[in-house]
Amino acid sequence: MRKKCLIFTIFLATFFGGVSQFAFPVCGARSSALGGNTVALSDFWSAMDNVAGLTNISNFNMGAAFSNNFALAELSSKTVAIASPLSKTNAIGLKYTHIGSSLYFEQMIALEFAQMIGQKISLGIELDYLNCGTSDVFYDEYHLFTFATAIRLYPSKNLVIGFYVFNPTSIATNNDYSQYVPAIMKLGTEYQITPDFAAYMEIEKNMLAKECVKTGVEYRFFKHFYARVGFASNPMIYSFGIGVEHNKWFFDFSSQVHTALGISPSISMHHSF
Amino acid sequence: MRHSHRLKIQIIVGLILLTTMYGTAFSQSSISHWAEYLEQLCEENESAISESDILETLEYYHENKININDTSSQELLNLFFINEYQHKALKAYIAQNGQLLSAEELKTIYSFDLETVRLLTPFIKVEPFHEREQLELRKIVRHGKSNLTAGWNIYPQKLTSNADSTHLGDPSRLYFRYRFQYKDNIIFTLSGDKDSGEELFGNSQKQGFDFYSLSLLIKNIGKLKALAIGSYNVQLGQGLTFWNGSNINFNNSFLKTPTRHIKAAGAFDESNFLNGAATEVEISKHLSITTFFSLKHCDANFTVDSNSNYVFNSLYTSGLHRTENEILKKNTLDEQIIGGHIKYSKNTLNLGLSYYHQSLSSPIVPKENFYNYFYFKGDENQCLGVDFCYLYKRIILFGESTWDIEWNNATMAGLKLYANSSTIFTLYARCYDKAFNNTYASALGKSSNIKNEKGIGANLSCILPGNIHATTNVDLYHFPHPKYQIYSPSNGMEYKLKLAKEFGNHTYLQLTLRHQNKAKNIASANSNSHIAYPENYTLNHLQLLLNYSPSDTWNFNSRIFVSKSSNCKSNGFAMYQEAAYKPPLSNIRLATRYTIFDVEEFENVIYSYEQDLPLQMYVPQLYGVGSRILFIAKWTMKNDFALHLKYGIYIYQKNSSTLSGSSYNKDRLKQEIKLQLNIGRL
Repeated sequence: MRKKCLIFTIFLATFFGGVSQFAFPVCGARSSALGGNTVALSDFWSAMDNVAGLTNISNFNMGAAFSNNFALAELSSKTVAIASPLSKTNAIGLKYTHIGSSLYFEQMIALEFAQMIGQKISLGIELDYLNCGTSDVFYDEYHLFTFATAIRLYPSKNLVIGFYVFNPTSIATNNDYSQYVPAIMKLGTEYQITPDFAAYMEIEKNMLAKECVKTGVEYRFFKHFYARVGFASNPMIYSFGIGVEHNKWFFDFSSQVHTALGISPSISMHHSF
Repeated sequence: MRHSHRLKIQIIVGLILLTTMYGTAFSQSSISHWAEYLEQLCEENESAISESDILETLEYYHENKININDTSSQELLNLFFINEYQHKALKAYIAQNGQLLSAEELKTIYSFDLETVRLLTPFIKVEPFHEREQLELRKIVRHGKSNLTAGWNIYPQKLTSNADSTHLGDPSRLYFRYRFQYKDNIIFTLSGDKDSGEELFGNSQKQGFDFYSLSLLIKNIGKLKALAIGSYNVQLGQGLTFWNGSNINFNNSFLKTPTRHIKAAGAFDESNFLNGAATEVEISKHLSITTFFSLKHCDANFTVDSNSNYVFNSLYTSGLHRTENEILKKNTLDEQIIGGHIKYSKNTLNLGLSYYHQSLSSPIVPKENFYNYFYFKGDENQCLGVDFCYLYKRIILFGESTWDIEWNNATMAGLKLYANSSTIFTLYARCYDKAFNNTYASALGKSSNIKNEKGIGANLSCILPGNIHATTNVDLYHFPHPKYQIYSPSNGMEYKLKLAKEFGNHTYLQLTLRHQNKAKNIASANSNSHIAYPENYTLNHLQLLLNYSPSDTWNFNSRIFVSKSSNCKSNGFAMYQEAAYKPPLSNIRLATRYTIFDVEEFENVIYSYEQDLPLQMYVPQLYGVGSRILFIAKWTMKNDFALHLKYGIYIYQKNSSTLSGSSYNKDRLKQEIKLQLNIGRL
């Protein structure tokens, strides 16, 4: 109970302490298992975090993800998403994410579009609706609109470079700018060392926190089975997980271990039609 | 100091122009190299450099590339990172092997290391060369090119800010430059500049612009190697006796071999120039003589003594005349300079003898302070110096020794070994008397004042296994007498390591580490005491650069900066992503950059150069917590008309005033809009 109070207090303090956190988790258990690497990953869920990656999908996709952050139901996050190619060079997606409970919640709806330019560049843009509120009538509920942009580069067959910035203008939630939604920038790479082994590295800078370095590796140890481990520096997190692929169905399971706040299990699945 | 800082900031901006404004025309590695040099200049806040002349030179040769096979031309030496010995090596190579077929072939010439080739590539072309044309007036009139550049910078936040209420003029900047140029032979420049906050046709500026510059430079007409009238720069020897204008230590070579000593001054440089006339005449094959005379008004800081007399404390070199106080400093001193240089050159030996005399209309009397006891005092100075440069096989020996009017000495010397085409070793040392005074010295050292310093350093550039290009530099130094903010003798060291690798032809990765250990005054532990004492502290910088240029159309740059001072609790961090787009067969070029930064303590401040419009320089000083968004567009029409637009905005979550405890919302947004029109091409 003490731990529960502590974590919840941290969230409320963040919310009422001058900034709106909008602490949306990474999408998908695969990213979660890789220490939170998202920006250069190549799958349906990474496309949901780096919109430029949407051009990787070749069919209509639908998926859902659930993360029980710090094993607290009040902080759990749920995401559902769909994505579809419009042509060979562009794609569109829609994502809904909810985190929290009736006491305090954040939710986001994102409409995404990505365009391939040539063979080696993919650009993306995302329009976001943000909603943040609490059960306490003394505090306002926020409805905000912002955007994100992304780039993915493919210098070679085994190297991907990703860039993503969310809310670049740091929109304010009130007129005197005392509360705002922070800008978040990510820069990362995926390097496919062998056909079965890939390494990931990413640097994330949230305007409200110190920079975070994330690393992760993924190994396909059997035809349709993947093992993953990862690490993030700030906050210090260890993560691990597995993935299973069968008949266009993809299931991923992971756990992140925060050195102070404990474990956060995640599960995600999607289907490529 | 402020002037120095401003100049450094400006120089960076210019390079931006050259790199990104022209989009992908610059090679990926060139971009990274320019950025690195310029940012370091900003960090070393005490080294004096000038901006416009470098910028204008590079800009011109970017548009008018030098044919590398034209060995009869001296134009290559106008690119200050090419020394005379590299030029000789190139000539010898062409004489032996015939004309070059590609720029890549430069790498096989022993004195052209990879970094030099990268820097050089944007400014050269490789074409068959037949015969150099004779200079004729008819050709000058017919083929000379004119260019008019006019610009307007707007700073919206200053329109409503109370901070600038003392400024007499509006916050915008206006400038123009007209230039007529015929190849490298004739350069005529007329320019005017009104800085932000200065009046235009107001009571304080009835002539319109605050600063005008007029210059004519004629080069290489028979025995007359150079003739300058109006504003110009003179650069002699290794810079200890007289060096006016730009001074960038490219490639850590510490070697200067100016073939021509007289250069055109920067169009908007308001203090670092000479005004008068200069000539350089080739007396014989081995002997040339340079003479120069300058008479100009200078700005000065002054106080008024008890007898209501002006006491001039120092020169005021920022060029800003925005407030009544700044205007009072304008043209308060007259400076006269006369000097000369004799150069003897035979085979691979260069010997020089330099002298100049400086006189001021009133004496300089610095305010008494602990650190400036040996600063220049009086109204007269003169310096006499000898310099040498000698190539023995693959070793260049160089040095200079100078004496001021009181026979205080400053000496520097070094050697540069070209072990092979990719391995270069440089060793250098300097010893400057604590009382040596030379306003026009600009040589290697850790501060803009060439005095009170002893040091030794080495630089090694080589190729590691895996085709990784490594450059490392170490510099150890000692200040025998107190300096500004260092109130006792002190020691320091700097170490730098750079690793770079190209992946194919499109991807470039570079890691730079820089470690400094230097002294600085620390406030006394006893709060009642006003005695400051220095302590050594460390400052570490890490930079990671990734450049990807998949085609001539697109160019992407990603960069990460980390800085950490041992005096600070936290580290500084910045990261940016840049994209430049040049549609094929289109007359539009676009570039954008997004930067996020978190630097809460000033000692961790990060400089990140960004592209700007032609003739302008800007290096953002990233301090605070926030982001910066940048857009640049260029539209050209019929090759002789171009319109440039730049929009930049800082969005602060915590700005410098917030960090120092002031109100939160002040200056949350800081914007600039720049417009520029170019008519004609040089």
